[in-house]
Amino acid sequence: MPLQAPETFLPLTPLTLSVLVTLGERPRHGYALMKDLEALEVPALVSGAGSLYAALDRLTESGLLAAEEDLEDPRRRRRFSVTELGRRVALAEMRRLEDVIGRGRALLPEIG
Amino acid sequence: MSPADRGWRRLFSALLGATPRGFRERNGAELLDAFERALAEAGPGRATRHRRAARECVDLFGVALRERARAVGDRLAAVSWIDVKLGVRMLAKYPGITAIGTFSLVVGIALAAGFFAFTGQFVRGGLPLDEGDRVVGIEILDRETRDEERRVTYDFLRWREALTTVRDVGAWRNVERNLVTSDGRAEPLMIGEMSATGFTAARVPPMLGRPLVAADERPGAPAVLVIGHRTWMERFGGDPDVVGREVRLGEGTATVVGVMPRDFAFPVAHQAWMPLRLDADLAPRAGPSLMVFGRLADGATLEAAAAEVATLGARMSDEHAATHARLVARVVPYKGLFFDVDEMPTMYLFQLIWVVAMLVVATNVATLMFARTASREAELAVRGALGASRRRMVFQLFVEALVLTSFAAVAALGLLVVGFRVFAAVAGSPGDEMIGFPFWFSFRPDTSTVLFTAGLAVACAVIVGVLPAVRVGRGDLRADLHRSAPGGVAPAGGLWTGIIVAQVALSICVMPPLLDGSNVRGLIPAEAPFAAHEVLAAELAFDAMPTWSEVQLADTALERARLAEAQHELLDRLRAEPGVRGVTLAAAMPGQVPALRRFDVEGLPSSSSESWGWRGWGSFVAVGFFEALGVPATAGRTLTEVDLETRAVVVNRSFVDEILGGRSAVGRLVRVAVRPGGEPNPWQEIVGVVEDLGVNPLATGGAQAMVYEPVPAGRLASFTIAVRVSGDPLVLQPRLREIVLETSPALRVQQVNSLDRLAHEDQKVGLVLAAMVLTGVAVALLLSTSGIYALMAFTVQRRTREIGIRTALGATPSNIVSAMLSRTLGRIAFGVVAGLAIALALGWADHGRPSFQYDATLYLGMAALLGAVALVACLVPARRGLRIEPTEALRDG
Repeated sequence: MPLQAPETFLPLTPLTLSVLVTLGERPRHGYALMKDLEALEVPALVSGAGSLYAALDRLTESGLLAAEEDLEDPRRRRRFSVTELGRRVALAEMRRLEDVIGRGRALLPEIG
Repeated sequence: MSPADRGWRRLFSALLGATPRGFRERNGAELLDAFERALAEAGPGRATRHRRAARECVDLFGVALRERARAVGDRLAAVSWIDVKLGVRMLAKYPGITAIGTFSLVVGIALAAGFFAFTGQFVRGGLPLDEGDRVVGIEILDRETRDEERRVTYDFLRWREALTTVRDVGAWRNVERNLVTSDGRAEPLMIGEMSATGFTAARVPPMLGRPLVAADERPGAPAVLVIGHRTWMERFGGDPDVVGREVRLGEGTATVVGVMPRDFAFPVAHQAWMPLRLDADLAPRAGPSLMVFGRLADGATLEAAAAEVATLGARMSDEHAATHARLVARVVPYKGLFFDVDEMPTMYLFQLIWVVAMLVVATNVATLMFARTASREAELAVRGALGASRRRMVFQLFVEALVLTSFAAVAALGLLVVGFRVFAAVAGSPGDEMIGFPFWFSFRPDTSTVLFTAGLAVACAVIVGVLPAVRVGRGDLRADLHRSAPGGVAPAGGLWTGIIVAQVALSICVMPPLLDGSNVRGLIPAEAPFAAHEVLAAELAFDAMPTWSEVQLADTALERARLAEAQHELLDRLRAEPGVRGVTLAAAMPGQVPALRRFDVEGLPSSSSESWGWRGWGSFVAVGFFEALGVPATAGRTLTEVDLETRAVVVNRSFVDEILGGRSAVGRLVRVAVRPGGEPNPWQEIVGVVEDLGVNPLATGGAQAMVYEPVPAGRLASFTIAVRVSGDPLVLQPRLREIVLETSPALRVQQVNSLDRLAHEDQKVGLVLAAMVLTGVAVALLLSTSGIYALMAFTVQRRTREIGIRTALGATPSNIVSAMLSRTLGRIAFGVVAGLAIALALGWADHGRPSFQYDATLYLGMAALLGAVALVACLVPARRGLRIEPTEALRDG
């Protein structure tokens, strides 16, 4: 099945992009992901576990993430990883942001 | 884990329970785990842990709401579009049922929503003014009788001095004067004599000139007039130099000082204002009737104002026990001045009755739908067997019904808008000088009405769609399949026959009061025994008080002499006009609204349907009234000068028929009845009888009995004159206006027209109401009929095979018909009997003995009509059953 065009998912919310990027490093359990996102110290990126799991649900549903039961985990939690589509969507979003930043620089040269 | 943490955990897992099941199953365990670990790692500080737990709970609550909304949205998006299409297709497939159902629902919803919208004009929302919800009214009531006391000059002056929570306290009363414009035209103008604060309370500046100011209210200040935009346009042709002009008002003059902008009609529907001058030395509970308004002071609430006014009122009760012991003062939202807050429960009760009536309509439509749904049992059963869940099928039927009821609701709102327009056109345009709707009336349904209508549509859809579905969908599918085979046993739906019984009974109880309360009789043009189209009639009123002076109580004898002189002069001058065959005067001409009275007749016990007296009508007429109209006495004689002394009266034929039961009237004694225990009036002799002179627009329930009493000149301050001519009476109209103005500027011409048209104007509102009630009756009949018909047709269809076998075995047609009809007819008969019994019981509660509240013929007629209609609705399908060939019926099996 051909992958859906990554552009159709854009723009991403800050939380979605952070989730994709963080999980892109390596797959994680939900709780570990939350701790890592909280450690980013971006205020209010994650407002709570509920919101995060709802977002993970949605990303899994739309095929940007894959969730598989971690057989080694005693609590059999799910481990989330980024799919190929998710990776491309994240890259597309970053290119879009770079473009925005580039144009912003041209507009406001004092920022450098 | 500390007890506090355990509490948080419980809350968190309760919130988890509120999330949709799918979400909970996927994430529940991990979320709970994450929550516990987050708490554990939040650190030792209790405050930090609480903060973290609270944050998680709030977050999860938001997630639960969002996920639920998403789930509902998904379901609607995925499921309903097909259902809507199916619904539309099903409705198109049964156009007859759809048409009847839609029509009934439109009328039902329009009536219920119309009542809601109309009463809303009095109870919902503030005034369409700047911060209009802060404009209030202040009123005084009798503690026990709840009657309003309007003679509040003394209290008003105290309120104006003392109140701190209400500013711009002002009062007004209505007076009517002839406004004579420069072209010599004299037409009455309704003037609000209003405190200058009315303009500040409304916060609307004048368009030209100035508003009224406090100085205008001082005794001896020059008379000034502020006019509304419409008065400016209609009476002064929009003259930009109108300010400063002196105009004639009745017997006095006033200077126009300002013009208000379009749409300004505070306090009610006013288009002219003069200063309200009050006598500061008036005793409590004396002086003119006033209405009091004000605006809540900045920061003050209605409650604070209510408390302050109540305190002040209590002090008044102490200081003036003689007049104020039983009075209470209160602050109400401005509209409350016109709608008694105490009446709210009654209003809600009426609203409930309308809604229930509408749901009865919906139940009827459901009956129709049931017959249809039942004929689809097989389809539904097959779909069920193919895996459609029962919930899914019920949902589909609901959506089908919702398509129908939504369409009906939209049509009903449209009907409402049109209906309001018609009503407004008939009953007077908004802000009309004479009667006029209050300025805040809007003839568009407000948001509440639209929401209310939407709610009705959903409620109807539940009844129309879900009731039949539950009924059909009950039981196991195999039984359904079996039953759907030809020759299966029809579900003799007890619920549905119950509904028909209830409906027949309800119609018999409810329709007669409705018919009685509306002037259905007025729809039939009456034959007047005289040429009403050759009579020019003019409603006149006399300025009883010297114009806007401080003198409130004029010398009555002097007033009467002035009026008598004016009336004599007027009639004499009209008689002298060429072509005039007769001139007379009365409180109400034939076709106008007379005074509702009750009468005692000597030697005759009071009416069986009333606890005291006989219902009838009375009018005061000038001597020579009947001669002037060309009406002869059919028995005895007409009224003469002598009768002014003896107060003898003439009655009409209906009086003889309704009250005397056809017995001779001349020589009998009659008097105006009073409630039991009251001081009786003196007896008056009947000296003659005349034909009924025309339809009384308010006479309902058969009471057309009329008593004419002679009245001397100078007694009636508002009256109608009739001028009988040969040919078109309207030719005389301009001359009549001239003569009236020349006779006295204090005489106001309210309306002039030929008598038949004037009477028709008076009847219009009644006719519209009558038409509405008749429509309602027609809808009820149509529904009962079609409901019964549909059920019977369905039963016959189901019993085709049985009928065939019976015929084959030699049953006669009458055997079969009676077998089919006996149960249904029995139930209808039960409904008729129950309806009559309930009506009698209601009458019992009212009169203390078993009797009908209204004309018995109405009840019996309604019972007969419903019975007949039901019989036909049964017979037609039954006949079809008889034509079934046995061979055909058996072959189908």
